[in-house]
Amino acid sequence: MNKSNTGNASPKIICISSGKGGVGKTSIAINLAAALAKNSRKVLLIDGDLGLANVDVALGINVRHTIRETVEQGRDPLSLLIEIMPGFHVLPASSGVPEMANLSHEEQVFLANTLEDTIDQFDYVLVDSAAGIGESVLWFNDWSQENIIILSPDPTSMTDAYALIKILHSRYGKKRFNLVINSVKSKKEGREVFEGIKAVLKRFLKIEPDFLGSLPVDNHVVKAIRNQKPFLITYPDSRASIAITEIADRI
Amino acid sequence: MTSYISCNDPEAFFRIIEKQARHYPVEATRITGKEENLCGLFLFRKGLSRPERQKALGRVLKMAAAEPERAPEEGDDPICHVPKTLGEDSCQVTTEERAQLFSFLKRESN
Repeated sequence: MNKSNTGNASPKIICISSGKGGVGKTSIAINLAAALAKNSRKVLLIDGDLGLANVDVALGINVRHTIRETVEQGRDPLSLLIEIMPGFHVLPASSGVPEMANLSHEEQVFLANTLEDTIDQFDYVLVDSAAGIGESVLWFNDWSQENIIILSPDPTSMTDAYALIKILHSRYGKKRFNLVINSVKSKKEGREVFEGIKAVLKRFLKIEPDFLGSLPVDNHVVKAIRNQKPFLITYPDSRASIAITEIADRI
Repeated sequence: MTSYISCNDPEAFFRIIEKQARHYPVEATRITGKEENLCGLFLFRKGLSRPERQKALGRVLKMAAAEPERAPEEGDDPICHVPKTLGEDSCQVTTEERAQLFSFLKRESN
Protein backbone atom coordinates (compact mmCIF):
# COMPACT_ATOMS: atom_id res chain seq x y z
CA MET A 1 0.00 0.00 0.00
CA ASN A 2 1.15 3.60 -0.52
CA LYS A 3 2.62 5.55 2.36
CA SER A 4 0.75 8.64 3.48
CA ASN A 5 1.15 11.40 0.94
CA THR A 6 4.04 13.68 1.74
CA GLY A 7 2.99 15.89 -1.15
CA ASN A 8 5.39 14.35 -3.66
CA ALA A 9 3.28 11.52 -5.09
CA SER A 10 -0.01 12.08 -6.93
CA PRO A 11 -3.06 10.55 -5.29
CA LYS A 12 -4.71 7.48 -6.75
CA ILE A 13 -8.03 8.54 -8.27
CA ILE A 14 -10.66 5.81 -8.28
CA CYS A 15 -14.17 6.09 -9.67
CA ILE A 16 -16.85 3.83 -8.18
CA SER A 17 -19.78 3.15 -10.52
CA SER A 18 -22.34 0.51 -11.20
CA GLY A 19 -24.64 1.37 -14.06
CA LYS A 20 -27.73 0.31 -12.19
CA GLY A 21 -28.78 2.37 -9.19
CA GLY A 22 -29.33 0.95 -5.75
CA VAL A 23 -26.61 -1.71 -5.80
CA GLY A 24 -24.65 -0.12 -2.94
CA LYS A 25 -22.18 2.27 -4.56
CA THR A 26 -22.48 5.02 -1.98
CA SER A 27 -22.34 2.69 1.01
CA ILE A 28 -19.31 0.92 -0.44
CA ALA A 29 -17.60 4.20 -1.38
CA ILE A 30 -18.09 5.61 2.12
CA ASN A 31 -16.93 2.50 3.93
CA LEU A 32 -14.01 1.98 1.60
CA ALA A 33 -12.90 5.54 2.35
CA ALA A 34 -13.32 4.90 6.07
CA ALA A 35 -11.29 1.67 5.81
CA LEU A 36 -8.45 3.46 4.03
CA ALA A 37 -8.51 6.27 6.60
CA LYS A 38 -8.37 3.71 9.41
CA ASN A 39 -5.16 2.50 7.77
CA SER A 40 -3.70 5.99 8.11
CA ARG A 41 -4.33 6.99 4.52
CA LYS A 42 -5.61 10.43 3.61
CA VAL A 43 -8.77 10.01 1.57
CA LEU A 44 -11.04 12.43 -0.27
CA LEU A 45 -14.46 11.14 -1.25
CA ILE A 46 -16.07 13.22 -4.01
CA ASP A 47 -19.81 12.91 -4.38
CA GLY A 48 -19.96 12.46 -8.15
CA ASP A 49 -23.76 12.51 -8.26
CA LEU A 50 -23.51 16.22 -8.86
CA GLY A 51 -27.23 16.99 -9.11
CA LEU A 52 -28.67 14.46 -6.62
CA ALA A 53 -26.20 14.25 -3.75
CA ASN A 54 -26.16 11.04 -1.71
CA VAL A 55 -22.95 10.95 0.28
CA ASP A 56 -23.99 13.69 2.70
CA VAL A 57 -27.34 11.97 3.28
CA ALA A 58 -25.66 8.61 3.87
CA LEU A 59 -23.36 10.22 6.43
CA GLY A 60 -26.03 12.31 8.10
CA ILE A 61 -24.14 15.56 7.57
CA ASN A 62 -25.65 19.00 6.97
CA VAL A 63 -24.14 20.61 3.94
CA ARG A 64 -24.32 24.32 3.24
CA HIS A 65 -21.76 24.61 0.48
CA THR A 66 -21.27 22.20 -2.38
CA ILE A 67 -19.26 21.55 -5.48
CA ARG A 68 -21.86 23.64 -7.34
CA GLU A 69 -20.16 26.75 -5.93
CA THR A 70 -16.90 25.63 -7.46
CA VAL A 71 -18.48 25.24 -10.90
CA GLU A 72 -20.63 28.37 -10.80
CA GLN A 73 -18.51 30.75 -8.75
CA GLY A 74 -15.03 29.32 -8.93
CA ARG A 75 -14.97 28.66 -5.19
CA ASP A 76 -11.93 26.77 -3.96
CA PRO A 77 -12.97 23.14 -3.32
CA LEU A 78 -10.66 23.02 -0.29
CA SER A 79 -13.03 25.39 1.49
CA LEU A 80 -15.93 23.00 0.85
CA LEU A 81 -14.37 19.87 2.33
CA ILE A 82 -16.03 18.24 5.34
CA GLU A 83 -13.98 16.07 7.66
CA ILE A 84 -15.82 12.86 8.58
CA MET A 85 -13.05 11.33 10.68
CA PRO A 86 -9.26 11.81 10.77
CA GLY A 87 -7.97 11.20 7.26
CA PHE A 88 -11.41 11.06 5.62
CA HIS A 89 -12.82 14.15 3.92
CA VAL A 90 -15.86 14.57 1.70
CA LEU A 91 -16.47 17.03 -1.14
CA PRO A 92 -20.26 17.23 -1.23
CA ALA A 93 -22.51 17.64 -4.24
CA SER A 94 -25.78 19.51 -4.59
CA SER A 95 -29.27 18.07 -4.40
CA GLY A 96 -32.05 18.84 -6.87
CA VAL A 97 -29.91 20.73 -9.39
CA PRO A 98 -30.31 19.19 -12.86
CA GLU A 99 -27.81 21.61 -14.43
CA MET A 100 -25.06 20.08 -12.30
CA ALA A 101 -25.81 16.67 -13.78
CA ASN A 102 -25.35 18.09 -17.29
CA LEU A 103 -22.21 20.17 -17.23
CA SER A 104 -20.94 21.61 -20.49
CA HIS A 105 -17.58 20.54 -21.87
CA GLU A 106 -16.00 23.76 -20.62
CA GLU A 107 -17.44 23.28 -17.14
CA GLN A 108 -16.15 19.70 -17.04
CA VAL A 109 -12.65 20.85 -18.00
CA PHE A 110 -12.78 23.63 -15.42
CA LEU A 111 -13.94 21.25 -12.68
CA ALA A 112 -11.30 18.66 -13.53
CA ASN A 113 -8.52 21.29 -13.49
CA THR A 114 -9.77 22.76 -10.22
CA LEU A 115 -10.02 19.35 -8.56
CA GLU A 116 -6.51 18.46 -9.68
CA ASP A 117 -5.23 21.52 -7.84
CA THR A 118 -7.05 20.36 -4.70
CA ILE A 119 -6.25 16.68 -4.43
CA ASP A 120 -2.47 16.63 -4.06
CA GLN A 121 -2.58 16.35 -0.28
CA PHE A 122 -4.51 13.06 -0.44
CA ASP A 123 -3.35 9.49 -0.93
CA TYR A 124 -6.66 8.39 -2.43
CA VAL A 125 -9.47 10.22 -4.18
CA LEU A 126 -12.64 8.17 -4.48
CA VAL A 127 -15.51 9.34 -6.69
CA ASP A 128 -18.96 8.01 -5.86
CA SER A 129 -20.51 8.40 -9.30
CA ALA A 130 -24.17 8.76 -10.15
CA ALA A 131 -26.19 5.81 -11.38
CA GLY A 132 -26.66 5.24 -15.10
CA ILE A 133 -24.42 6.10 -18.02
CA GLY A 134 -24.97 9.84 -18.16
CA GLU A 135 -22.38 12.49 -18.95
CA SER A 136 -21.11 12.93 -15.43
CA VAL A 137 -20.70 9.18 -14.90
CA LEU A 138 -18.67 8.81 -18.05
CA TRP A 139 -16.42 11.78 -17.60
CA PHE A 140 -15.68 11.06 -13.92
CA ASN A 141 -14.74 7.53 -14.98
CA ASP A 142 -12.62 8.93 -17.78
CA TRP A 143 -10.92 11.37 -15.39
CA SER A 144 -10.08 8.63 -12.89
CA GLN A 145 -7.06 6.35 -13.09
CA GLU A 146 -8.87 3.30 -11.80
CA ASN A 147 -12.45 2.17 -12.18
CA ILE A 148 -14.33 0.05 -9.68
CA ILE A 149 -17.62 -1.39 -10.93
CA ILE A 150 -20.12 -2.58 -8.32
CA LEU A 151 -22.69 -5.19 -9.25
CA SER A 152 -25.00 -7.60 -7.50
CA PRO A 153 -26.07 -11.11 -8.49
CA ASP A 154 -29.12 -10.18 -10.54
CA PRO A 155 -29.67 -9.84 -14.30
CA THR A 156 -30.35 -6.10 -14.41
CA SER A 157 -27.32 -5.23 -12.33
CA MET A 158 -25.04 -7.50 -14.34
CA THR A 159 -26.36 -6.19 -17.66
CA ASP A 160 -26.01 -2.55 -16.64
CA ALA A 161 -22.52 -3.11 -15.26
CA TYR A 162 -21.55 -4.86 -18.47
CA ALA A 163 -23.00 -2.02 -20.57
CA LEU A 164 -21.10 0.57 -18.56
CA ILE A 165 -17.84 -1.32 -18.96
CA LYS A 166 -18.49 -1.68 -22.67
CA ILE A 167 -18.95 2.08 -23.09
CA LEU A 168 -15.88 2.93 -21.02
CA HIS A 169 -13.82 0.44 -22.99
CA SER A 170 -15.15 1.24 -26.47
CA ARG A 171 -15.39 5.02 -26.22
CA TYR A 172 -12.80 5.93 -23.61
CA GLY A 173 -10.23 3.22 -24.12
CA LYS A 174 -10.41 1.96 -20.53
CA LYS A 175 -8.85 -1.46 -20.18
CA ARG A 176 -8.65 -2.15 -16.44
CA PHE A 177 -11.76 -2.70 -14.39
CA ASN A 178 -11.97 -3.78 -10.76
CA LEU A 179 -15.18 -5.58 -9.89
CA VAL A 180 -16.87 -5.76 -6.50
CA ILE A 181 -19.86 -8.06 -6.13
CA ASN A 182 -22.28 -6.77 -3.50
CA SER A 183 -25.08 -8.50 -1.58
CA VAL A 184 -23.86 -12.05 -2.03
CA LYS A 185 -24.98 -15.07 0.01
CA SER A 186 -21.43 -16.35 0.28
CA LYS A 187 -17.89 -15.70 -0.90
CA LYS A 188 -18.40 -18.59 -3.32
CA GLU A 189 -21.39 -16.85 -4.90
CA GLY A 190 -19.38 -13.66 -5.21
CA ARG A 191 -16.57 -15.47 -7.00
CA GLU A 192 -19.03 -17.26 -9.31
CA VAL A 193 -20.76 -14.02 -10.31
CA PHE A 194 -17.39 -12.47 -11.02
CA GLU A 195 -16.28 -15.43 -13.14
CA GLY A 196 -19.58 -15.24 -15.02
CA ILE A 197 -19.27 -11.62 -16.08
CA LYS A 198 -15.53 -12.02 -16.61
CA ALA A 199 -16.22 -14.76 -19.17
CA VAL A 200 -18.53 -12.45 -21.14
CA LEU A 201 -16.09 -9.53 -20.97
CA LYS A 202 -13.24 -11.75 -22.10
CA ARG A 203 -15.20 -13.29 -24.96
CA PHE A 204 -16.77 -10.17 -26.44
CA LEU A 205 -14.55 -7.29 -25.39
CA LYS A 206 -11.24 -9.12 -24.91
CA ILE A 207 -10.72 -7.60 -21.46
CA GLU A 208 -10.03 -9.30 -18.17
CA PRO A 209 -11.36 -7.53 -15.10
CA ASP A 210 -9.79 -7.85 -11.65
CA PHE A 211 -11.76 -9.19 -8.72
CA LEU A 212 -11.51 -6.89 -5.71
CA GLY A 213 -13.85 -8.96 -3.60
CA SER A 214 -17.44 -9.39 -2.55
CA LEU A 215 -19.63 -8.07 0.24
CA PRO A 216 -22.14 -10.30 1.95
CA VAL A 217 -25.78 -9.61 2.67
CA ASP A 218 -25.54 -8.24 6.19
CA ASN A 219 -28.25 -6.76 8.43
CA HIS A 220 -25.66 -4.49 9.99
CA VAL A 221 -25.34 -2.67 6.67
CA VAL A 222 -29.07 -1.93 6.59
CA LYS A 223 -29.02 -0.73 10.20
CA ALA A 224 -26.01 1.49 9.60
CA ILE A 225 -27.58 3.02 6.49
CA ARG A 226 -30.73 3.85 8.42
CA ASN A 227 -28.62 5.41 11.17
CA GLN A 228 -26.66 7.34 8.54
CA LYS A 229 -23.32 6.05 9.73
CA PRO A 230 -20.63 3.93 8.05
CA PHE A 231 -21.11 0.28 8.98
CA LEU A 232 -17.34 -0.05 9.37
CA ILE A 233 -17.44 2.43 12.26
CA THR A 234 -20.71 1.31 13.85
CA TYR A 235 -20.24 -2.45 13.43
CA PRO A 236 -16.51 -3.01 12.92
CA ASP A 237 -16.70 -6.77 13.54
CA SER A 238 -19.54 -7.41 11.11
CA ARG A 239 -19.06 -9.60 8.03
CA ALA A 240 -19.49 -6.56 5.80
CA SER A 241 -16.80 -4.67 7.72
CA ILE A 242 -14.36 -7.54 7.42
CA ALA A 243 -15.07 -7.74 3.69
CA ILE A 244 -14.64 -4.01 3.05
CA THR A 245 -11.37 -4.02 4.98
CA GLU A 246 -10.09 -6.84 2.76
CA ILE A 247 -11.11 -4.86 -0.33
CA ALA A 248 -9.34 -1.75 0.96
CA ASP A 249 -6.18 -3.80 1.49
CA ARG A 250 -6.26 -4.84 -2.16
CA ILE A 251 -6.51 -1.33 -3.60
CA MET B 1 -32.30 11.83 -22.46
CA THR B 2 -33.41 12.35 -26.11
CA SER B 3 -37.10 12.59 -26.74
CA TYR B 4 -38.85 11.70 -29.99
CA ILE B 5 -38.71 14.51 -32.58
CA SER B 6 -41.56 14.80 -35.04
CA CYS B 7 -40.41 14.65 -38.65
CA ASN B 8 -42.58 17.73 -39.25
CA ASP B 9 -40.60 19.94 -36.89
CA PRO B 10 -37.03 20.25 -38.13
CA GLU B 11 -36.42 23.52 -36.25
CA ALA B 12 -36.99 21.81 -32.92
CA PHE B 13 -34.52 19.13 -33.95
CA PHE B 14 -31.88 21.72 -34.87
CA ARG B 15 -32.35 23.52 -31.55
CA ILE B 16 -31.84 20.31 -29.61
CA ILE B 17 -28.67 19.53 -31.56
CA GLU B 18 -27.43 23.07 -30.95
CA LYS B 19 -27.97 22.62 -27.20
CA GLN B 20 -26.24 19.23 -27.13
CA ALA B 21 -23.29 20.64 -29.10
CA ARG B 22 -22.47 22.91 -26.13
CA HIS B 23 -21.38 19.80 -24.19
CA TYR B 24 -18.74 18.93 -26.73
CA PRO B 25 -15.76 20.67 -28.37
CA VAL B 26 -17.94 21.50 -31.36
CA GLU B 27 -19.08 24.76 -32.92
CA ALA B 28 -22.66 25.01 -34.15
CA THR B 29 -23.46 27.74 -36.68
CA ARG B 30 -27.03 28.39 -37.73
CA ILE B 31 -28.10 28.41 -41.37
CA THR B 32 -31.06 30.72 -41.69
CA GLY B 33 -33.45 31.24 -44.55
CA LYS B 34 -34.89 34.38 -46.12
CA GLU B 35 -37.22 35.12 -43.19
CA GLU B 36 -34.63 34.22 -40.56
CA ASN B 37 -36.17 30.77 -40.08
CA LEU B 38 -33.73 28.06 -39.00
CA CYS B 39 -32.91 25.94 -42.07
CA GLY B 40 -30.02 23.96 -40.72
CA LEU B 41 -26.81 23.82 -38.75
CA PHE B 42 -23.18 23.61 -39.58
CA LEU B 43 -21.35 21.57 -36.93
CA PHE B 44 -17.61 21.83 -36.92
CA ARG B 45 -14.96 20.45 -34.64
CA LYS B 46 -13.60 23.36 -32.57
CA GLY B 47 -10.17 24.49 -33.68
CA LEU B 48 -10.63 23.54 -37.33
CA SER B 49 -8.44 25.70 -39.60
CA ARG B 50 -9.95 27.99 -42.23
CA PRO B 51 -8.85 25.86 -45.21
CA GLU B 52 -10.23 22.73 -43.55
CA ARG B 53 -13.56 24.44 -42.96
CA GLN B 54 -13.75 25.69 -46.53
CA LYS B 55 -13.01 22.23 -47.88
CA ALA B 56 -15.73 20.72 -45.67
CA LEU B 57 -18.21 23.40 -46.71
CA GLY B 58 -17.46 22.72 -50.36
CA ARG B 59 -18.38 19.05 -49.85
CA VAL B 60 -21.60 20.01 -48.05
CA LEU B 61 -22.67 22.35 -50.87
CA LYS B 62 -22.09 19.57 -53.38
CA MET B 63 -24.25 17.18 -51.33
CA ALA B 64 -26.96 19.82 -50.94
CA ALA B 65 -27.02 20.41 -54.70
CA ALA B 66 -27.58 16.67 -55.26
CA GLU B 67 -30.34 16.42 -52.62
CA PRO B 68 -33.36 17.34 -54.83
CA GLU B 69 -32.52 14.35 -57.03
CA ARG B 70 -31.61 11.92 -54.22
CA ALA B 71 -34.65 12.40 -51.95
CA PRO B 72 -37.43 11.55 -54.40
CA GLU B 73 -35.41 8.53 -55.62
CA GLU B 74 -34.89 7.13 -52.13
CA GLY B 75 -38.45 7.96 -51.11
CA ASP B 76 -37.57 9.48 -47.71
CA ASP B 77 -38.25 12.88 -46.25
CA PRO B 78 -34.63 14.18 -46.14
CA ILE B 79 -35.08 15.37 -42.56
CA CYS B 80 -35.90 11.85 -41.36
CA HIS B 81 -33.48 10.09 -43.67
CA VAL B 82 -31.02 7.94 -41.80
CA PRO B 83 -27.82 7.59 -43.81
CA LYS B 84 -27.01 4.03 -44.71
CA THR B 85 -23.54 4.48 -43.26
CA LEU B 86 -24.99 4.80 -39.74
CA GLY B 87 -24.49 1.43 -38.20
CA GLU B 88 -25.58 0.16 -34.82
CA ASP B 89 -24.11 1.92 -31.84
CA SER B 90 -21.05 -0.19 -31.10
CA CYS B 91 -21.66 0.16 -27.34
CA GLN B 92 -25.11 -1.39 -27.45
CA VAL B 93 -25.22 -4.65 -25.52
CA THR B 94 -25.97 -7.30 -28.11
CA THR B 95 -28.40 -10.18 -27.75
CA GLU B 96 -25.45 -12.61 -27.74
CA GLU B 97 -23.80 -10.80 -24.83
CA ARG B 98 -27.04 -10.72 -22.87
CA ALA B 99 -27.70 -14.38 -23.57
CA GLN B 100 -24.36 -15.36 -22.11
CA LEU B 101 -24.78 -13.11 -19.06
CA PHE B 102 -28.23 -14.50 -18.35
CA SER B 103 -27.32 -18.11 -19.08
CA PHE B 104 -24.77 -17.94 -16.31
CA LEU B 105 -27.41 -16.71 -13.86
CA LYS B 106 -29.91 -19.35 -14.95
CA ARG B 107 -27.28 -22.06 -14.38
CA GLU B 108 -26.77 -20.72 -10.86
CA SER B 109 -30.45 -20.81 -10.02
CA ASN B 110 -30.90 -24.45 -11.18
